[in-house]
Amino acid sequence: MAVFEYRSGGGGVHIVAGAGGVEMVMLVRSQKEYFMDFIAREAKAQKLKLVINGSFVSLGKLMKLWTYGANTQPLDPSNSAPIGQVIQGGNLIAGDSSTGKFYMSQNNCGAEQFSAGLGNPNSNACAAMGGVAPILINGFPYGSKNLYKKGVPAGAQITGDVSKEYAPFLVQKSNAMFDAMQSGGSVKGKTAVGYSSSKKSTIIIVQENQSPGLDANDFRDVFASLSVDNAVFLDGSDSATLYYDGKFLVQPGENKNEYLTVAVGFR
Amino acid sequence: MSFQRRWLSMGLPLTLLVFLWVTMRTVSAYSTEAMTGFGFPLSWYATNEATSTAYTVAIFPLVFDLVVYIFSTILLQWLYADRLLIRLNFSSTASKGMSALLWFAACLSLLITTLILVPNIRIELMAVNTYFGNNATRSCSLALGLQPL
Repeated sequence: MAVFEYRSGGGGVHIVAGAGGVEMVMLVRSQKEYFMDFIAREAKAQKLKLVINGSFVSLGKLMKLWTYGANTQPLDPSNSAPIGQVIQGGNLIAGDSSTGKFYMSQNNCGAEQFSAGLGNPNSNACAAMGGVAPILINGFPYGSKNLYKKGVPAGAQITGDVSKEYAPFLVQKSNAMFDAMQSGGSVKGKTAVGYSSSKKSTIIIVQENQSPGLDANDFRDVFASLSVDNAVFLDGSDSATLYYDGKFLVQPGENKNEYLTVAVGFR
Repeated sequence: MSFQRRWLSMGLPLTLLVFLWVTMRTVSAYSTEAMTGFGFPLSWYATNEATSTAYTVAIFPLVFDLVVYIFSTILLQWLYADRLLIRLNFSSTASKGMSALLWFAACLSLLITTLILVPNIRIELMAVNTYFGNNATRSCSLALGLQPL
């Protein structure tokens, strides 16, 4: 049975480490209820120790106007579309293809092994989500800019695709979503999941929105210091949510609570 | 009606309406990543990749675009609309009615756009995004509809 350990990361940062057969469970809200109620209910029903917010979502213009205006009730989940595929038990349960973004996946249920990469997740995965932002992929760090070793020839690309001649010198790959996270600075909410294959440990870091904490580069450094080789950012800002051991340690914004649909549970 | 009064009663609301409903979509892309910005001639807003349903708005391009739209409609009014209105020979009541309608549509459009953009907004000064550099490909197309698209 998986064992989870919580520690505060200072400010609004919460770090949970899980080991001993951690299982990831993708949760998709299917009825009109607040995101937090949905999480609390699913956590009890599925015996989840920890639940965080999941995929990015898009919302129609009128629905956004309505939910940020007069509405205080939860939106029907059909109004909010997850970005990237959400897979549970080998079935696509929500979302759609997002080939230019990254995924986090647990391919075999119960076997504590997570993978991450570019494109859509394996359609047979036990639990997976696409449409997320990279932090570390197979040990390779991501950031706002491409960084190179000394001796790189002149003209290497600062962002985006790296030509073959410069690729051997690359030590950090740029990513637009990572850059957007970094641009938010150290007070924006962030949710990230990582896995260390050497320590067989799953690390979840959630930072409360508008509270002192870490920027995206700091998140990457923390994961790297914990020997994590695959880590991704999930939806950030006031989407950041952390439910741990029967309590909400980080709550989503009032409006996000009305329309977020995808959560990730761990047991 | 003087040029200035006609501009205030019809030209200005028309400028706002055109600014809010007709723009340019610019897709900046690398082989695996892309960003869509909106605005003409400069992109003044784009969806924010760091959080759901959020936007990044850049102040300088917003002001610059607005100035371009204002000067364009002043020029158009000077070139054509003045003559057209004289030819159509609107009565004072019809002119007032049309002006009121234009102002109502412009204010409503502006209100909706603001209400959609403002929650979860991130303000930049010079550009919505500096990530997509010179090595990115860019394609532009006409975009019609109430902003943000």
